[in-house]
Amino acid sequence: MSARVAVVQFPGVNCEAESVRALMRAGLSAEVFRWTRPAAELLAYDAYLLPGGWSYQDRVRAGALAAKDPLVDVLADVAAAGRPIIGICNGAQVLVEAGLVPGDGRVSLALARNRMPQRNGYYARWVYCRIEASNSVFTRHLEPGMVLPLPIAHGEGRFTSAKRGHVASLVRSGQVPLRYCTALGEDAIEFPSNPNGAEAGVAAVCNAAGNVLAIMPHPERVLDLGAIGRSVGGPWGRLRSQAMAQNPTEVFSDAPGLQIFEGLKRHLEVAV
Amino acid sequence: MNAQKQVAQAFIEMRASDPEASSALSVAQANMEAGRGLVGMRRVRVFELAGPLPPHAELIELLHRSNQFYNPSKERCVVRAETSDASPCVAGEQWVLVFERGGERRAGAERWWRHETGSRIEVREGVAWALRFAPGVDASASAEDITVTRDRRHGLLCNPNFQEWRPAPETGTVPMPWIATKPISRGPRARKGKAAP
Amino acid sequence: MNVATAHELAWNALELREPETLSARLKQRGVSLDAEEVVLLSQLLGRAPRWAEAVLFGILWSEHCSYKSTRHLLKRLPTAAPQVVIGPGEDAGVVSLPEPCADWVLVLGHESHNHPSQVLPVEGAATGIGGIVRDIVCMGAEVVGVLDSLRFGDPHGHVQTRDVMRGVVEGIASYGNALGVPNLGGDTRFDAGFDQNCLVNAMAVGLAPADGVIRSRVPEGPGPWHFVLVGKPTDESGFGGAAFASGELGQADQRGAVQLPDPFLKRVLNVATHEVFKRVREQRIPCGFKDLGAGGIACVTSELAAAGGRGARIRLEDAHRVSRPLPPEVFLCAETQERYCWVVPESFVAELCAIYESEFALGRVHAGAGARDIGMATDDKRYVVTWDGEILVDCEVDAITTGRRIMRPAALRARPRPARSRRRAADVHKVLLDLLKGEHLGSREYLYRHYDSEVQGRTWLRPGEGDACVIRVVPDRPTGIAFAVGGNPFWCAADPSLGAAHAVAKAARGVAAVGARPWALTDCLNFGHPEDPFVMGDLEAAVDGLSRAALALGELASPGHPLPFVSGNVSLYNQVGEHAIPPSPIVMCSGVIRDVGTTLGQAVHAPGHVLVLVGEPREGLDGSTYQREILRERGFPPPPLDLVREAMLQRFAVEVSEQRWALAAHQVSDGGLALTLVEMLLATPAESTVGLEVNIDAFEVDAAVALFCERPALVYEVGFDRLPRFSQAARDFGLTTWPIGTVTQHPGLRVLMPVGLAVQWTRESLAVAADSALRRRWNEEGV
Repeated sequence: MSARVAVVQFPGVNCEAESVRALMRAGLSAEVFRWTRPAAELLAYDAYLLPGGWSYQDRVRAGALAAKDPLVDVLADVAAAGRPIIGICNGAQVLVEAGLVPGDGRVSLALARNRMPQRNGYYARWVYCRIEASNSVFTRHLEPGMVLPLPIAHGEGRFTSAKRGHVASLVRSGQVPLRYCTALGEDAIEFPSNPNGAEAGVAAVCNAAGNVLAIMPHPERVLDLGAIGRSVGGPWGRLRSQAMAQNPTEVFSDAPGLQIFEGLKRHLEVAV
Repeated sequence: MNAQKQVAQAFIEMRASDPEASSALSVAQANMEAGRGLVGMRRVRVFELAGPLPPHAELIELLHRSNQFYNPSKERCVVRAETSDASPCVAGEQWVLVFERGGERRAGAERWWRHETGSRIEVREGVAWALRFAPGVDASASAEDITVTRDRRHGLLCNPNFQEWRPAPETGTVPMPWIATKPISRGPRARKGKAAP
Repeated sequence: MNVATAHELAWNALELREPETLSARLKQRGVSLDAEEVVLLSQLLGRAPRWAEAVLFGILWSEHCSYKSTRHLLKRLPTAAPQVVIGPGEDAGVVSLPEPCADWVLVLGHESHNHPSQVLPVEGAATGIGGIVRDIVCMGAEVVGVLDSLRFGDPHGHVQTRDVMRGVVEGIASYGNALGVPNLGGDTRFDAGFDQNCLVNAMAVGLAPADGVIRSRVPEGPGPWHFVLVGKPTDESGFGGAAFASGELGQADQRGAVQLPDPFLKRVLNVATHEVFKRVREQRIPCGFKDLGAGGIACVTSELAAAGGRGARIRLEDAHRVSRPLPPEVFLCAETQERYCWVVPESFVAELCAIYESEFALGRVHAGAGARDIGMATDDKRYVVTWDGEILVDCEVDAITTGRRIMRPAALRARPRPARSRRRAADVHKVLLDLLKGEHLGSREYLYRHYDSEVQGRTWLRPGEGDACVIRVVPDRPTGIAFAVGGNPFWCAADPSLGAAHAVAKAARGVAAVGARPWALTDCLNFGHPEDPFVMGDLEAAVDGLSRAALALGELASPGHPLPFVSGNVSLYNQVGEHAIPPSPIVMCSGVIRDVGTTLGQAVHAPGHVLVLVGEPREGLDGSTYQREILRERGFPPPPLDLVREAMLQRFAVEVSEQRWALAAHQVSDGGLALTLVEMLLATPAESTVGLEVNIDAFEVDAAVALFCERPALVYEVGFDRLPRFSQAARDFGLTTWPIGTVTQHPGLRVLMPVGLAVQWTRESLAVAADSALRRRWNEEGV
């Protein structure tokens, strides 16, 4: 039997359907876990996905109310027990506000409002992310330096901390599995390569054990190679162009985002 | 023209019940230690206008006219142009201001103001939370516990990693100016042993 | 008129003797019934109406709800074709889809929210999206996309015009993004004619199981049928919205008539509603479903009853509302957002309410939200509303559905012959950059980056990537659906009939260019005062133009049939004083693509490929952006539109995609060939090093004509190996092809001109110019 993943649906979340689909395409079994169910029933799953959207309408602050939810108490317990949890976009905001990322329970990071020249608020575009050396269960099967094109769509995605040097130290300690980069994999210094002003171009942060990941881009949205943004160049862009020109069925092969769920599947094959 | 700098505050509150405040209250009461002493919470958007400002009545009219500040069909607005003017703060309420560090200016509102009046003013916005505690609760300490997010059990209204927070120095008062002032220097209190399990 | 309560009579016999005076006094109290309607209502009821009835009929007979000035014209639009399941008349149109997706139907809606967006841009535009989304959901569908056609005033003018633009974009983004519905494009245009009346047309598309479409009526059978109101507790917001949308924007503060959006509640409400859809389908429970819009509880319950040929007894006191007191007529007719009404058998009422109130805990999401049984259908064909025992409304159901008609005189406007300036701009290099920096042809990317186009994971082609947006119907099947819009205000101002025909052709061509078969149309007719005969004349001409084009372009969906209009909307009174907006028919075309793998975007792929123009590029500059912006000649009619040739062009376009003869396609429209090439170049990845080189010498016309003529055409990127088949097919369709150049390795655009000259632009200079137009206006630079 394939491992079971709960896609935790707080009210206002809106990416649950494609999240389930992405997990299933990776060969996992997945179902939506609605917020009105008893929290203890979460214990029956092998892994957890907190999807994107607007949990509790982003009231007070993105992710802030859901972070205090009794469901998250259970998630904190299973995280401590080593079960994988991935929070995507709003899910990442919940994990950061709950102190599950970067870990130890203290809230030492924020996903703050984007900072972009001559723009405010929400911003949606395809970006490039580079795999960094880390022990995240979601990316450790990938070569550091590999470039994954992924879509972002958020208003509050700027990883930052009140503690000077904290974000840089997370990079050094291998808790930053993805950083924004250029199409060629160079550091993203400024907008638009770094789309939100995140410190050190951080796109995702995991806990020290590597089982909990807060990721701002949306790996679940595009599952077919032919559907990735037409603005995407580099090796993935070339693959897509070739598929369209020469090999019609190739356009339905895996898109880059599926790598993240492939990592989860491999981890669960060993762990469960 | 009087080019002297002046300050006014506009307090904007929902006419109907505010879902944001009621969610914050119920989450704090249900899931946070300091929330147990909390009996009421209101959310008030605060604009602070600094620069050459018109007389009180005209100020009220300008704020009412522009969609940049509030929607009079769903919100009401109280304007305070002098420290002696009344604020919507009720006796016993502990007010706490939260705003984004470096993100408090409102360029659209400033632009609109210049167009309408010819004056250049600075407009800042923050959110004030009016907290009401049960008798016997230390309002100042509890307000900090409700406000400054440290872990899943402590703090909700401000994530200090990107936001500023400024409590009113005593209950029933609202400082003026509030947003434009330098942060009050107060070191974080020792919170040993209080991190979430 | 001393009415104090809703169940008292609104007027007495004495007052009725002077209907004009009565009408004016009603208007002062917020009820819009003209003198004729006052008399008509008394006759229809056989007595004076109760106050609540006067309020209700004032809404029912508003232009917004009754289409009283335009219904006879709308009948001229072709609406029948084999793929049409439900045509105009319901909240949204429904069309079938071909195999392998024949088990799904496509649901299409098109609405305007012009007046509210001018008064309160953020809330107005947001509730525009909210309203059209409800129209789709209430057919039993999942909403899978929204589009928006926006018309703003002169962006160099008053700051308010730009505030409207910023607010509308923020409203669309804040609502659509939070609701989790992808934005599938649209268009944005600017003209001083929209300074005081912006247009916000919102379109939404949905998918429903073919056997799962729910009608807006009491089902047949004994029932007993109960009305269940679900969603937000009723408040006074939006009361008077229909009258507001059926009159001129005035001096008074009208912000109170704009409804308040709540995408969070709507999201949860929709998720819960989908659970209901699942249950009623599984258990085969017959039901009716409708959203609440103008006229609130009164309109929704009476229309559900009337459409099913029944009567209804509604107990208003059983409906949920905010805790503060509401006058009953406000409670009955307020346009509070985020509400639906179900009609279900008595046996299902408890389960239905439990889904909303317990399983999805609506009350925890929004205080007071829930589901309540508010009354029953009856067999006596009377519509009765009571409030704690007092009768508020009691009339024949047929009285409610008796449409109000007004025959408005129409006259053809004399259009002055536009004057030629004799200006000629020689510097093609500068002209193109100037045009790109302007708001008409600059990139729309700055705006659409505010919108989420990929939520739900169906998206295949996004805004800015091709001539239409494409999504998949079902993730594991190849069928795609495509959407594009059309409507050029300058062309419609100069010639409403030809301009409207172009709107249909452009939307359908956009769909065909990506490889989809034009399948169905929706429209909104945005015009000024219907009392003005010239406005009615423009409207009639536009309807004729829409019809003409639709009749010619249905071949790709169903041979021998028109391209059907399946849903639409009319928005009148877009006028302040003498200043009516330019006639603005706005059209959305939906298309079906057999295999999304063959979708053609506009980005070119690889050096060495050939660029081929399909069409006739030598038709002069009349109606072009170049003529308006560079030569400063305004008011010229659009280029001619040969609909027979247009149909051939679209058939060819679909053939090209299905046969995989080309790698990229982009239509020639605003800005002409030059803009088409710039957009094909800038759509490639930013770091790509490809460029375009074209030779316009072969056209044997003035360079400006060759580059900026806006006669419809298509440009393709074709590989050498496929070029012979591509060209032969074009000849077979009777179309002219021009191999105009190649994709090169030099990032930029190079145009070889007559007499051996060459002009070139770097990619960087084109990108900077195109990006600056809206970014600068948005940030108040250089205005």
